[in-house]
This record gives sequence, C-alpha cells and structure tokens, in this order.
Amino acid sequence: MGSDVIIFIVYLLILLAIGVYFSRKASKSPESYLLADRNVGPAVTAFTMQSTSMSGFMFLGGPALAFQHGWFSIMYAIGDAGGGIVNLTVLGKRMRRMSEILGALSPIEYLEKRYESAAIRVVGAIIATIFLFAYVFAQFLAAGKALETLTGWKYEWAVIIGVGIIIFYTVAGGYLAVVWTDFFQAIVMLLGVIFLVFFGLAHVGGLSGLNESLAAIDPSYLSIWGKDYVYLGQWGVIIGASLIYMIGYMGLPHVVVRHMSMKSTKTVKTATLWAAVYNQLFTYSPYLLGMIGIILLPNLSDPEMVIPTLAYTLFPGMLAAILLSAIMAAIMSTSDSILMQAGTILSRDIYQRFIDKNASHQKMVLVSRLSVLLAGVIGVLVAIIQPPKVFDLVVFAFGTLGNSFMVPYIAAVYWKNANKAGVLSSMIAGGTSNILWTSFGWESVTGIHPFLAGLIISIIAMLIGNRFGTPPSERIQEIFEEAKGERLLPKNVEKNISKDIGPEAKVISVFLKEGHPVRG
Amino acid sequence: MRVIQTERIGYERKEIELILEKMDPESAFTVQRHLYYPYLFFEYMLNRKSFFHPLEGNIGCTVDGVNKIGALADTFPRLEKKTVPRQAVIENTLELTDAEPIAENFLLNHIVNKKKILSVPKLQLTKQMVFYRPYWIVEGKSKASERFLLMVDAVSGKYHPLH
Repeated sequence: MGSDVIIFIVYLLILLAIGVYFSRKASKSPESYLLADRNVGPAVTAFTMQSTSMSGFMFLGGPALAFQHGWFSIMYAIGDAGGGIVNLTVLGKRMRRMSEILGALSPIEYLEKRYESAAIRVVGAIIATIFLFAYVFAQFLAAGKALETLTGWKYEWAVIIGVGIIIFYTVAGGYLAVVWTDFFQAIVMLLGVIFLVFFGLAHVGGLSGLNESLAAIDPSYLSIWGKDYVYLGQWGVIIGASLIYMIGYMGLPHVVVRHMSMKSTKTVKTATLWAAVYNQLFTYSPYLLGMIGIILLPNLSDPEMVIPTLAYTLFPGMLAAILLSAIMAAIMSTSDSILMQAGTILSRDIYQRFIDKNASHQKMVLVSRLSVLLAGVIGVLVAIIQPPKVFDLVVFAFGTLGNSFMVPYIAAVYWKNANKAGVLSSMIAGGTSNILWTSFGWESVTGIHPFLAGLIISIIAMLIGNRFGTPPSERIQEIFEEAKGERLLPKNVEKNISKDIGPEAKVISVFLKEGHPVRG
Repeated sequence: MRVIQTERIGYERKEIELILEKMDPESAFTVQRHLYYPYLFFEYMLNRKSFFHPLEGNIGCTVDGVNKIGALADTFPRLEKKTVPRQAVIENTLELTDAEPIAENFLLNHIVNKKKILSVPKLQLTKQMVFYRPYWIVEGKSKASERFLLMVDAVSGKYHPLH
C-alpha cells in the first residue's frame, strides 16, 4: 500500500471521528439532527456551502471541459466564483428569518408553509427525491471510480469503503457532522488545487506562457466560443454556462438549506466574505489546470483524468496524496449533503407529514437516521449494480433541480403575492423544460443553454400561473414583511438583545395583541 | 385581583428607563406596565459516586410554563407573595407533574453534555413550585419616530423586542 493511500485512509478516519464526535449533540431533537439547532457560524456556513456546491465535477468534469475547449470553460468558473456570493446575498437573510418564523426544518417543508399548499410539498418532494437520488448516485459512482483509479482497489470495494464512511458519519452526526466535515474538506480541496496550480503554472511559464503555448497549438483555445469556435455567436450558450453556476445553486435544496441553519441573519455578512475569498482562490484553478494539461499532457486519452495525471506526473508522493484526498473531498462533501437532504425529505416531508404527524422527538431523530441510512444503502447498491436507465437521470439532476426550485425560493421572499398556483406552474414547467431541452438536444437548434431555457420558462409560468391563484393569507403576508427584516430597533438596542428569552417574547406579543394592549 | 408567588423585582421602572436611555441616548423609553410570566421551579439533589467525575450538591431548573422549555437556574429564586391584577398575569398551562420530566430530562442532558460523562447520574427531587417572573413592557421611540416595544426581565435586566 503506497504512502498516498495510507494518508488517504488517515483522512477518512478523521472524517469518521468528526461524525462520532457530533453524534450525541445530533440526537437532542429533530432540529439538532436536521439543522444543527440553527447555530452554524459564518466560516462553516460559507465553506460547507461551497464544498457542497462544488462536486467531483470541479476535479474531473470541469478540467476535462477546459482540456477540450480552452478558455471557453472559464465562463463556468466565472459563474462558480460568484455563485456563493449571489446565493448568500439574495436568499441568506430573508430565508433564514422566514424559515424560522414558519418553523420549517426542510427546504420542501418551507415551500409548503410559505405557499400554504400540501400539493407543493408533494410535487416538491417527488422532484427533489428523484433528482437528489440521481445526483447522489452520480456522486457515489464518481467516488468509486476515483478511488478505484487512484488506489487500485476493486470498484465494488472502493464504493463500499468510500461511501460507507460518508453514510456512517452522516447517520451518526447528522447535519452538524455534515457541515463540519464539509468545512474540513473545503480546506483540503483548496490546498490540493492551489499546490497544483502553482507548480503547474511554473512549468508552463505562467499565464502568459500558457496562452502563448495554447495559441501555438490552436488559437481557438483562447476564444470564449470554444475549440474550433463551435459556439460562435451563441450568446444563449455562453450566458447559460455562466448562469447555471452563478444562480443555479439557489434552486438546489441541499444547498439552500444552509441559509436555514445559520446562527443568525448577522452570519450572512461574514459568510459572504468567506465565500468570496474562497471562491476566488478555488474556482478558476481546476479550469486552469485543464488548460495546463493541453500543453503538458498532449497524449492524454481520458480528459477527466487531467488533474490526477498532472499530479502523479509532476508531484509523486505526499502531494499526490493530498490531491487524492482533495478529489475525494469534493465528491464526499457533496455526497453527504445530498444524502442528508434525501434523508430529511424522507423523514420530515414524507414520514412525519403523511404517516405519523405526532411522532415524538426521539422517534423523529431515529426515523431521520434510518432514512439517511436507507438513502445511502440504495445509493451504494445502485452505484455497484449500475442498472440501465437510472444513470440517464443523472444528466438532468442539477439543471432540473435548479429550474424547479430556484424561482419558488426567490419568489418566496421577494414577491409578497406569489401564490401556490404560480409556484406549482413554475416548478413543473421549469423542471420539465430542462428535461426536454436536454433530451432532444434543443441547445444546438436554438443556441440556448438548457438552464437558461428552463429559467425563462419557469419565470413565465410563475407569472401566468400566479394570476389563477388566490393571494396568500394575511398571516403569510405579515410573515413576509417580518422576513424582510427592516430595522425597527436602534442599533445599540438591537446589539444587546437576549435571545434566550425569545420564546417568552413570542408569548407576551400574542398576549398583548389578544386584548391586553399597552397604552400609547 | 389575584395572589401569586413572584420573584422580587431587581430593576425598578426608573432604573430600566435610565439603563435603556444610557444605551441609546437618541431614543426615549417609557415603561408602560408590567406582566407576570409563569415558570415552574425544580430543585434536585445530585449524587454521583465516581472516581473520575464525582458530582454532589443541589441543582435547579426552571421550566417555561407556556413554551415548556427548560433552563438552568443559577440560584434559588427570591420569592414573595403579591396581590396583582388578573390581567397582568399570563396563565400557566403546565402542571407540576407534567413539567417534572421536562426539567429532569433537561438537567440530565445538560450534565451529560457539560461534564462529558457516559453514565446518567441520579437526581432526587427536593423542591418544586410554580412562580411568576415580572417583566416590564417598555415603549421606545427612536430618533426617526419609529415606535417599538421591549419586554425587560425585571429580575435580571435582560430584554427582547416584541412584535
């Protein structure tokens, strides 16, 4: 067994230890297990959001795209670099406030309560379950393949070991273990990629040297239109490429749940700063490495292996071990979040909502744990058996989730009169159009990226559908205003509020409203 | 009128107004009234014989009489009997028998988490009672003429806005 594999095993054991450490805290209540008691600080929120958003694609698919198309791929990086900032700025504070007022523990439950419709929860849970599972299958498959290639383990064992660790710490430590392992893994991802870019650029003579060499091989590598100018003039594709990662994350349930678990609305500001710094350091690097690969690895047969091959060619030994861990960190930090979300939907949105409404706290924690375990075991079986047709769904997972949920999440906090008819139309039309656009290859005919098409159609459906629905109740309209969070208190007074008497304040507010008014 | 066991007021009306005005000199604060909020107090004797983590002594817990949430009580509340208007009292919705398991669970969780011990210590109930904590309802007016309400714990001085 090589030193790189030993280092990687130590890394896996650290993740396990984090899961075990948080297992007791997670058992306190469903809110502890599913949302870490809404007490996650800014750095952890930012890093878990970024490492969850950036999957194995950043180390395998992204660099492969750069290897094939050159600077066109940087459009995806631009979107990614702004993604976390846009997500936190647009949704952060308002979604944090509204989810707490509504008492929602899952992003699907949040939609049901905001739009006062069980149908939204049913449709939302169906879409989320299908495509989150598809997403998790893809991540498990990637985990198995990456481990198989990098360690030489048999594929089946690679899936069982790699994914088994994820399932174990997620079941034991719940959301708290997920966000803390993500925090740790985000740092590993960043270190791995920064080392490589630094030495990779040194090998090709810096950015100028890289561009000169690319121009010498094929000048179209330097254009934003792709190799051989394949996307020439197709602004719909270029804009869609940036948009998909800049705003698409706002539609992913396992990413937006990070807003609901923040310590307070004050967390948003610092988290945005952390996300901004992290993204600028991280997101461009994998694509730059893909382009460095064009020069240093001209005979590479599998473009997805550009980063691993570069690492093992340039830096055998310790650095390669860090890189192996970084690749797995990207895959695992996304997998655990999706797994957690799939488990949350099964336990909270299906079991508690439709099977046992009065389940006790202890029972709900147990059901949540079993749901995560069930989702994990199904994922492992599918990744090993690889039944045909299931992986066809993977192609649609990201875009369909984004196009189904993004408009409803934004409208929930920015459009007071958004109602259930509009949201149902938007979810169904957005998701369906993404599937059709991708299945029938309409991107090449129309010159419009499937995500951009889905986004436009979901907005139109929301506007039209909303005309046929009834306005939200007075209570929801009040909550909407409260979630806007306009400052009513002077700054110094707000600074010293004692949160621990918040429950009493709620009771006294109601008491005063119901006939015991204060004079004045 | 109604006779209740209430905690002694630690901060009088004028003191509260002065403290708040010192905190934000640009706003004006006026105490409008006071309210009595129900809590259930439980005191236990704790005795855990262990070589590494021996635990001995008394420990107290208050349970919110409406929200049914436990909290650690640092000291035994200083109580007095008072006759107060009925409309100043928030009704207790929790019986002592229903609140006792909440208090015990809360304390056991707290002890196990704080002391990092694996075995659960034994708690012996020594005292239990219902009492009411006084809260001041304070109206504030900011420089921008925005009106807001605060509830101030008349014992500790902690406050929270009302919506």
